[in-house]
Order: sequence, then C-alpha cells, then structure tokens
Amino acid sequence: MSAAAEERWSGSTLDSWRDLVLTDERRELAETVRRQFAGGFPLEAVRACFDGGSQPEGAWTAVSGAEYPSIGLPESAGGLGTLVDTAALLEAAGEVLVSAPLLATVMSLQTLARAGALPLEPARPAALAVADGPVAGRLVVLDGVLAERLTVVVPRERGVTVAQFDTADLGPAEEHRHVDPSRPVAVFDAGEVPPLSHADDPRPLDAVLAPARTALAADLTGTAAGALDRAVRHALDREQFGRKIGAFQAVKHRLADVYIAVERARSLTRAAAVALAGPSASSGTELSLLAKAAASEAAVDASRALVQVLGAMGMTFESDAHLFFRRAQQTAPFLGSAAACYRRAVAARRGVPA
Amino acid sequence: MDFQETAEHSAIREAVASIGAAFGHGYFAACAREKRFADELWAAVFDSGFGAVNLPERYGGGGGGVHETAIVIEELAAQGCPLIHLIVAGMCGPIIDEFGTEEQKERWLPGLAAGTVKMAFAITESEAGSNAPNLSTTARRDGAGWVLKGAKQYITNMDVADAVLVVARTGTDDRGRGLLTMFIVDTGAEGLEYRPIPMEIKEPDQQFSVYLDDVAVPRERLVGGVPDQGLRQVFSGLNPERVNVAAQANGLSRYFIGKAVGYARERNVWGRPIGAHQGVAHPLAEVKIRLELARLMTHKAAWLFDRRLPEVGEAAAVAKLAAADTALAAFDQAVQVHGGNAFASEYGIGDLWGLTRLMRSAPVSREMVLNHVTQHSLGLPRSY
Repeated sequence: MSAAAEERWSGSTLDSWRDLVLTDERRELAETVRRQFAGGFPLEAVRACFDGGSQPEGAWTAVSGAEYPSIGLPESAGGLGTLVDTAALLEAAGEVLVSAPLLATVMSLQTLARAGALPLEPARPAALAVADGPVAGRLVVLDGVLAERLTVVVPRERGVTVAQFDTADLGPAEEHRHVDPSRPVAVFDAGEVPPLSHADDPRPLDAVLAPARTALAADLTGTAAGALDRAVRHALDREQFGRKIGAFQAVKHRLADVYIAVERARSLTRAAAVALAGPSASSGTELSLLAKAAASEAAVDASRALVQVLGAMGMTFESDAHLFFRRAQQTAPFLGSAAACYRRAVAARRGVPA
Repeated sequence: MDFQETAEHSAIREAVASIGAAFGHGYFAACAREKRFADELWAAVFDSGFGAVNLPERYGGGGGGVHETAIVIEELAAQGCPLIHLIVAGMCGPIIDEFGTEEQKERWLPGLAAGTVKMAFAITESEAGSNAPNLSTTARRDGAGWVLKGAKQYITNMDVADAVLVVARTGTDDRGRGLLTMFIVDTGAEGLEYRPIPMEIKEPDQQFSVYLDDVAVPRERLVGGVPDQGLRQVFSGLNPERVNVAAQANGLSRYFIGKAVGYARERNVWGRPIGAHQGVAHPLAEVKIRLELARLMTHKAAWLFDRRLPEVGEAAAVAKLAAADTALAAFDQAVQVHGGNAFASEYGIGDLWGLTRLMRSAPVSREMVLNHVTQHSLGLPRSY
C-alpha cells in the first residue's frame, strides 16, 4: 500500500466504516420515510404527474413539514444528523419514487453548505445546476419547475463560485417535456441576473459537488432497489409451465446480477457519505464519483430488468415498470454519466484536473 | 435465393468430416506436442482429393473455389483439426494460378494440388503489421535476376515448405506507397535462414522468423514475370484468407459447442443433467445462434468471391469478425460448462485457446475490420 493510500485508509477512518451498516436509528428513519411516502404519495401520485404535468399538491408540504431537507445540514443552520442520514433518507424516498423535489432541494442545500457561509433556507423547494463554463448561462435543471431557489456552481480557473438565485428573478422557466414528468426539468437563463448570495470555493468542482453527487447516488440506489423489489415479487408470484418464473435460471440469474449492482451502489454511496461526514473527507470526492457511477448503472439496469421480467405486461402503461424506467433514465445522467464519473474518479484519485 | 446446400457440397462435407473424425483432436494435439507437421492427416486429405478443391482440374485440383475450400477447412476444424496450412495453401495456389506465368503454373500447381509440394507465405514483418505496403524487405535487380534482403516474422511452416512466396518492396509509387513484388523462393536458397518462434498456439504448424540475407532469386521466380504487381497479388489472397479463417473459426465453434453440449447432457449434479439448467443451456443456445449467423455470412463471402463480385471485401471482413468473436465465445462457454475439467488436457479444449484467440487478431484485427466498415460501409471519415 502506498503512503498516500495508507493515510487515506487510516485506522481512525476504518472505525467510521461501521456506518456502512445502518444503525437502528437510521433504519427507523428509512422505514418512516418509506411508509409516509408510500402511503401518502403512492405510485398513483407519480402516475398523476402524466396528466397534471406537475407533482401532487401537498407533496412538498409533507417533505418540508417533516423537515427532511434539514437532515444532514450543519446544526448552525438548524440541521441535524450527517450526510449518512441524508443518504438513508434519500434511498428510502427513491425506492418509492417520491414525487416531490426532495432530492433537488437536498442537492442544492448540501452544495451551499459545502461552499460555506451562505444562507440556507431548507423550507423552500430548490434545485441545483452546474454551469458549462465560467458564465452561468442557460441551465437545464432537474426538478427545476417547482424550485424557488436555484443553486448554480460555476467552474473557475481555480475552484468554483457557488451562487444562489431566486427563481422568480430568473423569469419564467421554460419547461421541458421529458420522459419522467414526476421530476420535471426546467431551463433557466441566469446570464445577467444578480444572485441572492454567492461564495468562492478554492476546491475543485468535483470536491464541491461531492455531497450532491452522494445524495443523487442514494436516490438512484433507492430507485434501483425499488425496481428490483418489484421484479423479485413478480418472479415469486407469476407461474408458467407449472412453476414460479423465479425458478428459471434465466430469470433468477438476471435478478441476482441486479442485486449485486444494487449492493455495490449502496455500499459505495454509504462509503461516500461516511467519508464526507467523517475525518477522511479527502477520499469523499473519489467515492462520491464512484457511487454516482455505480448507482446510475444500477438504476438503469434494475429498471430494465423489471421491464423484462414483467414480460409483455412490462410494456404497458398500466404496469408501474415504466415509472421506474423513466425515473432511472432521466435522473441517471444528471451530474455526469457513469462513464464521465469513472473518468473523473481516476482524476480525483491521482489529484489531477478532471 | 437458395439456402439448401448442393449434394456435391454435402458430399465433400461428409467425406472430410469422416477423415477428420478418423484422426480426431487427439492426433492433432499429439502433433502439436511433438512439434511436427500433421503429415498423415495432410496426406489423407489430399489423397482423397480434398486438399486442392480450389485449384483447376487440369493441374489435379478440384476445379472449385473458396466455397469448397472453406467447407474442407470448416469440417476439419469441427473435428478438432484446425490446420493452419490449409489456409496458407488456400492463398498460395490461387495466387500462382491467377497471376503466375504458364511455366510457373506448370512448375508448381501439380505438386501443390497433390499436397506433395508445400509453399509458405511471407509478407508479415515486425514493423509492417496491418499497413501491408510499408514493407522493409527489398528486392533489387542484379543482372538478369533479383536479390532479396530483409526479415519476415510469423511465417507458418517454413520447415516443411519447399518454397516460400516472399513479398518484397521493389520501389515507391508517386504517392509514396511501396511498390511490391512477389517471388517464389526455395526454402533452401543460399542466404535464407529461418528460426522457430516459441508460440502459445498449440498447433502442428510452427511459426518462424525468416532472414533474407542477399538471397539471389532468378528472374523466372518473379510471380507473373513483371515487377511491381505484388500489391494486387497480395490483395487477391486476402479475401480468401479471411473467408477460410472464418470457416475455420466456425468449425472450431461447432467443435466447442459439440463438446459442451455432450458434457452438459451427461454430467449430473443434483440428479439432473446440467444442460437442464438455463444458466448452462442459454449461453450455449446463444453461441449456437451466433454461429449460424457467422456461417451465413461466411457462405455469402465465399459466394461473392467465387463470382468475383466487389462486395466480397466487406463480406469477408465481416464474416471473419463475426466468426472469430463467436469461436471465442463458444470456447469460453465450453470451458465454463466443463468446470475444472476444461483445464485437463484429455478434454481437448484448453489447448485450442491460442489459435481461437489468434483469430480475433489475425489475419486482420477486429479493429481494422471495424475501420473498414466505418469507412467503406458507413461513409465515415478514414481514421488511420
């Protein structure tokens, strides 16, 4: 092991890895979130977004009322817990395809908190965007339609600027018709608009985005786990040729492969959260990129497997498979494709520009 | 369109398969271990009239084309006897037949057709891989004859060949590309030396480095009698080579699938044959499907070549890629099905890895085939 690696994986860091397994407290949090959203906003609510074109009324109020966006924020901003709790929360919410801008708001808040010294407003729905170049021009924003605040990360020659905008100042958002209407994409132009607040951060872009990417990975891991769960339940339920289809290796081996992909994504996501919350934050950047890549792959693969295992039913609008498929397809590319994240993870490890 | 094989082709197939079966992979592997040419099998194939099905009847050949050669090569490979020299012979004879002078045809073709004379083919050099014209072996005029100087690498069967077709550079055209000329050089010629290259391909056919140190070659050994025609002659041999390699790969796929299926039927774990498990059976079905696709493409390429149709270039390259990829997949699945037994010599699988894997790289690499397709079939910009 090289000297650098030894420093990275020191004993004190290893102690904190026990958080890779959820504590009873976190398991309870996840269970509460799952129950609350699955009960209050079941997949019918996601489906309703196709008709209404927006998320169900009351969804954000429920999210905000439970103060979920504050979980993992600094205590000075009224937060509680760490990014490990955030990840547990978002994975549970992702599993039931929650149709409220929870992930987008968390990504926005985590990025503002990362840059430091910026006011945090956890009660307002928000979203995150990364500018292509040194000017925050046209921005395509995941879940941007309902956002009241927009956090924009602008790469500089050295480090980044993190700016917060009031979306009301940005003029009417151009709404994109996209594959997943439960997470509607908006396009903003922040070119000439003065931000509400901004701060410079000397760290590289990927270091600043690490908490947001970890949050995104948790959400995608949840989507993957939800799709796998449905596929497994169908394989145990559906009979053909006198046996449960899950008895056929063609089906069960496919699901076993997905299970491995989900576990890999989950482990990397928790490892990233643990690293970023603890004393080994330097490895957090690399882990957040690996987690995001793994979770993107898992979500896309699991939702594809769900469609396949459901057979012809998986191709119908009535089946819920397309809801997972759409969620995975639309969310997975945000903050960089799996391939881009792997490439940047290598750069992060070697300490060279991505 | 007719996909039914003719009675004549089926007869060739059956006869060659029974010759191959009589020798079997055990014989082939023993020759490889002993590093000796498969003389007995070679003689049996030629004595039955299948060794030169592609050469004209008047020289003792079968009067067929690449299609027939490909059938012979595929059937022998399907019996576990993938002889590389049949592919070399599939190039050399036809080049002399198409481009040689009357004297050259009379001198060489009867022996090549009978299998009593063997010819090696020497184009590959260490510094000229896929870029064929960029050879550094040269031939310069010397009185009435020529003098060859240079080195060749990975030349098959120099030790058993009577002569070798050497491709050398005889000039440069106005676009800076090498002008090539092909010579028939005796393997015992003065100044010609060859040394075996230790290979990880377990094959009766050995590979050699060839050194040409001012080898004097008489004028009548220049293929066709006119210099600078070599590129065209080389290119005429490349498509049959690709088709024949594809055929050999298809035969190997059949061999591997046959081995795997036989084992999957007999091997019982948990009270049923392992072939009843989809995890075992489905990958075999997949390679079977890929094999049938590759065979169709190989037949098409052979058919196009034998009719001198220009589409053969793409078809032969695509057939080679598809067949080589499939053979490797079939090999891998045969290994997987056999479990630990795949690594025991007696099962006759593991020793064929080298040759099977080689087909992805030679005679044209997978990447060069993709380059060809992107440029010529899809119209994308040239990348090399």
